[in-house]
Parts: sequence; structure tokens; C-alpha cells
Amino acid sequence: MSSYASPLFSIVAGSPEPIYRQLVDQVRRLVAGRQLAAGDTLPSVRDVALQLAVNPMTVSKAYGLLELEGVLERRRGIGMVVAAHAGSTDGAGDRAALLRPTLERAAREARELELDPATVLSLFTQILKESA
Amino acid sequence: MTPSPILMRGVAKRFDSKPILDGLDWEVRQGQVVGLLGRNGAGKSTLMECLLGLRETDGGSIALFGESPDALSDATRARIGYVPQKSDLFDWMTPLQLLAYFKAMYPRWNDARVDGLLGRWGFDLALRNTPIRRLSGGEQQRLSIIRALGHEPELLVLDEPVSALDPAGRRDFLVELIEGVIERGTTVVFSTHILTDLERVALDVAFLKNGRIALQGDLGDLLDGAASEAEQGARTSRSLEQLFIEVTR
Amino acid sequence: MTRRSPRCSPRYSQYALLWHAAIAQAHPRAHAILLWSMALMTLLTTTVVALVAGVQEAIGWALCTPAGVVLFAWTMCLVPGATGLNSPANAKLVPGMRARLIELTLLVWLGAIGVFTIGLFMLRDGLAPALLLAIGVTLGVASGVAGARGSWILITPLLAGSIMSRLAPAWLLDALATPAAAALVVASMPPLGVLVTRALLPQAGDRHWNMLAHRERMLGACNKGMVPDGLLGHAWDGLMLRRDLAHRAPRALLMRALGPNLVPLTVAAAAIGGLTFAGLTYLGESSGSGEVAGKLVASSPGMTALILMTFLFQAGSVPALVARNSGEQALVRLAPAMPGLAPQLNRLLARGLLVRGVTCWALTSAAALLLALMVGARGEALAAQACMCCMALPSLALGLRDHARAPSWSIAFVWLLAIGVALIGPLVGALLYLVFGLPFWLCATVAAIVLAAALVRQRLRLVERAPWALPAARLD
Repeated sequence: MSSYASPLFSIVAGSPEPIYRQLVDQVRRLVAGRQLAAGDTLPSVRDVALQLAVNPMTVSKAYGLLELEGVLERRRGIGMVVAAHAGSTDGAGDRAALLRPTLERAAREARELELDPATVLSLFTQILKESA
Repeated sequence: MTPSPILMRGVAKRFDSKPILDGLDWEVRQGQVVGLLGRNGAGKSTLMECLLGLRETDGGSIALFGESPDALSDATRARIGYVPQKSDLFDWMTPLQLLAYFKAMYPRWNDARVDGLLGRWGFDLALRNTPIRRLSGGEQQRLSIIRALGHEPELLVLDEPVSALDPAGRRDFLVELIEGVIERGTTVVFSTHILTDLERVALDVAFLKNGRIALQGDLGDLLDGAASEAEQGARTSRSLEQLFIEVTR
Repeated sequence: MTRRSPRCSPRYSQYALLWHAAIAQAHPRAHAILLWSMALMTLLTTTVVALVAGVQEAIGWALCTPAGVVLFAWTMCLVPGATGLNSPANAKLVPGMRARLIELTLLVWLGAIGVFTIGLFMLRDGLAPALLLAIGVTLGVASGVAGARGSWILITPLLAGSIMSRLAPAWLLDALATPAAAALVVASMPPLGVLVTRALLPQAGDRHWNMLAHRERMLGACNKGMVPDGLLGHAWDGLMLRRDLAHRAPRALLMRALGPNLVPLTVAAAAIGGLTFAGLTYLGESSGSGEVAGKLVASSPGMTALILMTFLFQAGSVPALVARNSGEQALVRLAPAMPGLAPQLNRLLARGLLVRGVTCWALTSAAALLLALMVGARGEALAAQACMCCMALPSLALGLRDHARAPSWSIAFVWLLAIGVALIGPLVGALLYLVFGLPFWLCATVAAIVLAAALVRQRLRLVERAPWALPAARLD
């Protein structure tokens, strides 16, 4: 049956983001961060659906969107494969753009806590140093 | 053109002159996986019972695969599976006897699948031969689901099928729903209060409010705010919970 | 209740509240029905007895009849209702509820049986046996209905009592006839009442839950506490199930959905009841003197009546039985093996119920007649008992009703209806005998058969026009 050991993707049901969009963002991040290299095969729609307990159509929709974007390409007989050029043209700017949604959320919380930008930035720098 | 699994037009149902369903129109097409949402007491169970002909309606027409629920042919009934909200199983029978009983009443029955489900969902040999009245609520509900899947229906109607299951049981159910049901192109209609489950598995949702289907559509689109005409241009992303509260207010 | 004098108004209103809440569970208008039947029956019996016997007898009956009606209501309505109200949560957490319920139950019982005692006192001098019988029956049946295990121990007085008064050894009868014995019985009533009432209304704890579970099972099996919940019962049911599934006959499959087959149970209960009766009679006789054969034969009609009561109870419980498991019946209706149109399904169900009813009747009658043969009845006496069995035939029609509507009467009332319907035959026979001089039993039998046929035919037509029988009890 489905193995629950270290799944490639994870989703959070009940968040404002639809599941397909979470998957799309995750794949984009993984490709941009080179965890998924060009030519790597992604797990089949069925496997992902069973592992995450989501509708296969949702996974298929995410894969389809990524294929349209050019991040993935479909190889007959193998499945979905990371497109060859996907990671290489991603400059730092493009990768930084992927971080934007998370930073926007953090900024919103900082505003609610009424923290000034200097404090927030020094905190963020400290965390980056810790996790490096 | 094959008839839709479910087609309801103008269905009305009153309890003591209080309208529960009021001119309800609903269509569910082949292969759709629809989550039915509504407040407590909105009439979801009543809707499902009227749909299957288990309650008399006070008006309107219902067609299951093109047939009226009052006169379903044997072939059509063999294509329908139902899990009622309260599992009122025959408590003097054992699980094996219950499954054998229903097997005798259906033309097609997948023994291997039933056996596999019994094994995966915690029914060991001892439990399979215990009278159902000695089973816990969760075990009874699981048995009720297994019984509905045994004859491989094309239309599966589930009324809060996981209300008594713990998170592991719910996950098992969802996986089985995806693998054994959705992949075969079965039409699924289910109601549940556990929104996270619904969001994973349903592609469409329908909200029951004031006796009608107030909102129905693709779940992704609705969450993206695409279908909300009230907010012009403000495509705010909402969680399903927020959407639920908003629509059923 | 006009018998108790209210001490303080709040307590009285609490009693009134609990009384109405408890008996309304048997029937929404139980209170009104109770008062009317008390008034009517008292009037009837008093006038009849005053005309036949003397004034003192009439007064005695005037006291016993309403007390008897109240005792019946106590056993069949108040005690089940009170145990229903006395859920573990209520008993433990609602202040004073259990205490009030116990007091109410006890006071009603003591009051009714007190009046009963006074009435008996005026009727006959040896009131101890009759009183013992009354106490045993009310407390025993109440315990059984409430779910206490082993209540059948208290029910054997029902069987033994009617024999004791006729066949008991002389010294026992003399002892019981003395005022001392009467006083002893009367004195034992309050403590006995207190004991039983407190046992029937426990205060949470494992015993309470066990009682509730037992009661749930019994309500399904409808038996006076003798439920063979063991391996044997299941094995038999399992064997029959396998055979039914192999044949796949729609009617058999449909009847399966109504619950475990109670016919064997009913017949077994009837046979055991009859055998016990016969055994006790024989024992009573062998220790005493007199013609054994004559006395045994004389008591065999009573035995047959007892066995028939078992059958009538089963017949009366059909509506409640069908209304069980209504959730699952929906699944049965959606199965392809069942008929697809309402009249067809209703007809199938009606036929199944009729066949089962007739089988039950045939077997219980056979058991009764066999026992009568064993006991020594011959010729005319035997024929009379065979005719008596036919009196129960009209009650077969009780199972034919619009099952889509919930039964508005509790099982006890439907049982009474069954008994009433069974009495129509003898009534007609008696009328014809008195007016035209025709043979009583023949007329009664013919009347019963004709009535049964007419009722069944009329109700079958009703059943065909009714909405879907399954899921049962969904309307009103």
C-alpha cells in the first residue's frame, strides 16, 4: 500500500490556498532550489493522490498547470519529468519572487504585532544565520 | 446521451408545514465528486433521503439515471450505493452475515475487495464473527461503508460517512475513496462537516441553504473567489471554512 | 392522582410532572385513557356484580376494579416510563429526580394495592393468596419490563398462583386463610415495595448500564425476560440464514430484515410455559388428594389460554418489531432483489408476516393441544380447546398495517388489542347461544374464522394502497 515515509509533497487542507495551487508552488520552489534537477521523474498522479489523500484530478490539474508553464514536461511511458531548462534560467530574482508570498505573510504579522522594520529585519537576519 | 446520475427539479419537502426543501434544483453529472455542505438542520440528510426515494416529497421531480425513485428498476438500484448517517445495522447479525445477506441481494459483488477492506480496516477474524450490537460506533460505520462499496456502485451517496471515525480511519476512508471509487469514475455525493476531508477529495461543492442549492461550483474556483460576484475585482483567497460561513449565514 | 393527599404543593406538582412524563411514553394520551377506562370499568363491574351478587360484593368490586386498572397502568406504563426518565445521567446529576421517581412509583403502587386489599377484604375472607398473586405479578412483570435480570423468578407466581388456590395441600390453604397470614402479607407490602422500587431505579453505576443494555435487547426480542442470548440461538439463526441466502427468495430475504425470527422462540416459550403449568399442577396434585385426572383436565383450558397469550403477545408486537432498524431497511429497499414498486413490496411484506403469523399460530396451537392430550383431556374437552385456539386467529391481522407510519401505541396496548380481538369470537358465540341456543364453541369458532378472513382481506387492500412500508415508521 502507500508508503508514508518522507513524501515529496505536503499540503495543508483548510488553508485559504487551494490544494492544487499549494502543489504548484511547491514544485516551483523545489525546482528553483534545485532539489528537483532537470530530468528527474516526478511521482505519478496516482501515487501523489494516494499519499496525500487528495483527488487525483487535483494533482493532475497542478501537473497540467506546471506543464503549461514549462516547468514540467510529459514523457510518454515515464510520466512527468522536470523540464531541461526549468532550473537554469531561474536567476536569483526569479527565486526571490517565489519567496514573496511567505514574506508578505510575515510582514502582515509584524504589522499586527506593531514591530518596526529594523527589529524585524535584524530578527530575520539572525534566523538566517542560525539556519545556515 | 446517457442520463445524469442525479437530476432534481423543483423538489419541495415540508415537515409540519415548515419547508425543508423549497423548489430545489440540482444536477450531478457522471463522474463528479460533489461535497454537500450546509448548516446543521439545513436538510442535507432529508435531501439525500428524498433523492433516493426513502422519503416522500411534496413536489418536484427527481430522476436517478433517468428513473423516478419511486419506480427504480433492478439494474439502476444495482448501480447505487448509500451510506446513511446513522448506521442502523442489523445488530443481531455478524459482519460476515450482514455482508453475505447483501451479497445475496445484488447481482454483482466484489468479494476480493470486501475482503481486502475488512482486513485493512481492522476487522480481524474474531471481529468478523461478533454480533454487530457489540461493535463500537466507529466499527459499525466502517462496516456500513464496506457494505456500500461491495457491489461497486456507479453512484455513491454518503451521508456524513466519517462522523464516528478517528483521524486514521478517516484517512483510510479517503484513500479508499480515491483509489477504489474516484479512479473508477464513480459519481460521489457526500456530506460532511469535516471540511478538510471535503477539500481534499471533492472537486465540486454545493451549499444547501434555505431549502435550495445556494451555491455550486468547482471548489478551486470558489476558494479563489472567482465565483463571488459580490466582491467586484477583489479576488481574495478564502479558506473553505470562511466560504462556508459566508455562504450559509 | 386523587388518592394521595398533597402535603406540599411543589412536591405534588413534581409528582404530577413526573407522572405525566412517564406514562406519556406509552401513549400520548395515556392519562386520559387511564381515567376513562377506570371510570367505565368500575361502573360496568359494579353494576353487574350488584345485580348478580350482593351490595358488599359490589363495593368490593368497585374498589378492586379501579385499583386493578391502576396496577396495570403502573406495571405497563409508569415503571417503563420511570426507568426511561431515570437515565444514569439524570439519576446522578439531576438533584432529587431519582428520589421523586422512587417516591412516586412506590406511592402509586402502595396506594393501588392498598385499595385492592380493602376491596379483597370485602369480597372474600382468604385474601392472602389473591394478594400474593397481585404483588407477585405486578412486581415481577414490572421488573421484567424495566430490564432487571432474573425477573422471571417473580413471574412464576402467575403460573403457580392459579393452581395453588385449588390444588395446594390443605394445611397451606388453611394457613393462608387465617387473618394472621393476611396481616403478614399486608405488612410485607411496604418493605417489599421499597426494595423493588429502589432496585428498579438505580443510581448510575455498572448495574444501571447493564439494566439499560438488557432492556434494549429485550425491547427487540419482546419476551418476558427469557432471552436465549447464547451461542445456541445464534447458531440456529446462522444456519437458517445460510439456507435463505442460498435460495435467494425475495420474501425470505425481506423477512430477514425485520429481525431474528421470533417464531421458534415464541413456540418454545409457549411450550415451556405450558409444561411448567402442567408440571406444577401435577406436583400440586401428587402431594394432595383427589382425582388427579379430573383436576388436571380442569386446569388444561387455563394452560391453553396461557399458551395462546404467548402467541397473542407475539402477534401484538409485530408493528413495533417492523419499526426497528428502520435506517437499515432503507438499504434493503434499495437492493435490486426487492420489488421496485410500493404495492409489490408491501404485498411481499404482508404475505411474509401472514405466513409467519400462521406458522406461529399453528405451532403454538399444536403445542397447546399436545399438552392437553398429555394432561389427559379427551373428546369434548379437547375439541373445546381446539376451538379456543381458533379464537386467536383474528389477531393475525394486527401485523397488516401501514408500516410507514410509526405505531402510536406501545406494545402493551397492542397486546391488549390482540386479546380484545381474540375475545370477539367467544362474545359472538355467547350471544348466539343465549339468543338462539346454538352450540357455543361452534359459533365462536366460525365467528373467529370469518372475522379473521374479513380483517385480513380488508387490511391487505389497505396495505396495497399504503406508501412504501420500508423504511418503517418514517411518517408522523
